[in-house]
Amino acid sequence: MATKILKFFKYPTGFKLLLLRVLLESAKNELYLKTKLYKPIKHLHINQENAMDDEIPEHELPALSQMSKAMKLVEKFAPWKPMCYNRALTAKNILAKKGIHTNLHIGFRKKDGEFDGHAWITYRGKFVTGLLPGIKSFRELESIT
Amino acid sequence: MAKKKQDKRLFEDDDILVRNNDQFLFTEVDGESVVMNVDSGHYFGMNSVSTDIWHMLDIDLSFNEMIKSILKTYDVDEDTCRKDTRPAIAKMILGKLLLKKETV
Repeated sequence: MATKILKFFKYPTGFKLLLLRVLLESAKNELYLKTKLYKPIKHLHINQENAMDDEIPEHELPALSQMSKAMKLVEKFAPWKPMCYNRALTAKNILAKKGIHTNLHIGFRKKDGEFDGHAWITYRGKFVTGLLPGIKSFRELESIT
Repeated sequence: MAKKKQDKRLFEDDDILVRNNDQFLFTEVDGESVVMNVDSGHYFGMNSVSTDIWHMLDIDLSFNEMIKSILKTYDVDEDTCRKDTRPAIAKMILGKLLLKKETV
């Protein structure tokens, strides 16, 4: 545990701030998802058209890789253990505020006779959160338009 | 009997029913249907009756219109059709999968 705390302090300030922001946003989304009191997440289902094979502009790469890393840490250490849907909404919202408009995907497959759901986000065809082995076996829901 | 009365109160035969597309997303996997509530992230499978109702509501229909459509498609008598379809619709209204048009 002590090593992990020390490791946190070694991160650059910008990344520490991002982690804090991701934590707060994820906690807020967790509350919304649990209570269904508000409906602030609907707009996050609206995907923007962007070409699958477009190269990601170089200046956007650091924000995307930091988000990926921050999300993995939050998934591991946040007490509410955010599920994939929470993580995808959190990342999409924060990146949108930085001007990076990612696409939210929700898919289902049958696993041992049960429905298995998963959510992830992509940017220009590349995964930002939620990449899983066999992700292509998920049948995607159509997004809200 | 009490349940039947409760179902009856949920909607009238000529109420126009619509899918709650703002809150629920639908897809089919291996011939089975699944819907997800986007406000909570919860998802569940739908049986064949509910799936048929969901598909039928590509256009807004009343219960009476829906029954007429089912009678044209399936070899079933009207009483049985109404008896089987009504609780399925009531359940979908309770789960907010369907809405009555005036509440939209």
